[in-house]
Amino acid sequence: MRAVVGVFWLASTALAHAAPAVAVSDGWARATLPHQDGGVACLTLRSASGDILTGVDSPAAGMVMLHQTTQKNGVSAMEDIDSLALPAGKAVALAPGGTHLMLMDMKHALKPGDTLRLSLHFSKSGDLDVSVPVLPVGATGPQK
Amino acid sequence: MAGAAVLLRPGGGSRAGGGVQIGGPFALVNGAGKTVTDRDFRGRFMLVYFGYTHCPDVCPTTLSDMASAMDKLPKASRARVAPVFITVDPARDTPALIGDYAQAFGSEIVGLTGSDAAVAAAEAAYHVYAAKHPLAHGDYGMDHSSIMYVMGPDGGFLGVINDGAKPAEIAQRLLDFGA
Repeated sequence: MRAVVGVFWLASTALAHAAPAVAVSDGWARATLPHQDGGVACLTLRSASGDILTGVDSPAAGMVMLHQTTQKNGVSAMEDIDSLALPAGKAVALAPGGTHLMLMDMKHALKPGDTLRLSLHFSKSGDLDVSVPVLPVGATGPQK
Repeated sequence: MAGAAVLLRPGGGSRAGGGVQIGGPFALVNGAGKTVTDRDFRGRFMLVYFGYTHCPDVCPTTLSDMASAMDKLPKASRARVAPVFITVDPARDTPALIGDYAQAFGSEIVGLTGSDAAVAAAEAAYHVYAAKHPLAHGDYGMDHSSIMYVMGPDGGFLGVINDGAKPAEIAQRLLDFGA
């Protein structure tokens, strides 16, 4: 009995060190024109125990950056951000009006109906591959 | 937005006695590479918005709202309104791109670009703030005034609509202005 208890104890501490996967929802990307320079993807992230989004890659783009939109005194602006903190249990939305993923050096245009693959990198839970639908250029949010 | 409200005086800027004049002559290029001036819109209301195609967020949302607002207008009113999207990023927004981009939101939206000087002149006429904002890896965004301008059939300034306005509000404002 003691040996079995010992094994369970070891297993539970090992599990405690691996942060649970981040939950991803409401993902979508905006369609782009062939001669357009950049693309945008949005999604909502939720980490039960807390995590940090540190980077993103996509096979559709040479580079994916984290950007924040600001609006102050009638002027709209965009900033680089290095990482995005996910407080434990809180849904953090990358969505119009706030933060978003900017796709640069696009390999091809994104057409409505396509699927965009993203590889999300988190400091605690590691890498997570997701796919989001490409919506028409006039879309304002994920399809429910 | 309080600052902007003080600056803008609806009712046409050409009145003597002060008030900032909003709008004025511009000579830009459309998606087909043709010159388009402000005079081409006389007789119709203009719903003007300045932005750029590399803008991920506020520009697509506003253009989408403008297109939806046009859909809400009665047919006769709709025919009297010309939605216009003028780029603040002529370096990247070529005529073909700005034209196709604007039309992707709504067939009536006219996308305009031009030389740096021509775009700067249009920005100056509308008192639009636009500045290059460097981002990592050689990318850049354009910080820009984000607001819709309504110009009357005589070319005179009628008022502004905040970029956060929903399509129903945009449509109502246009009708209120006489569209």
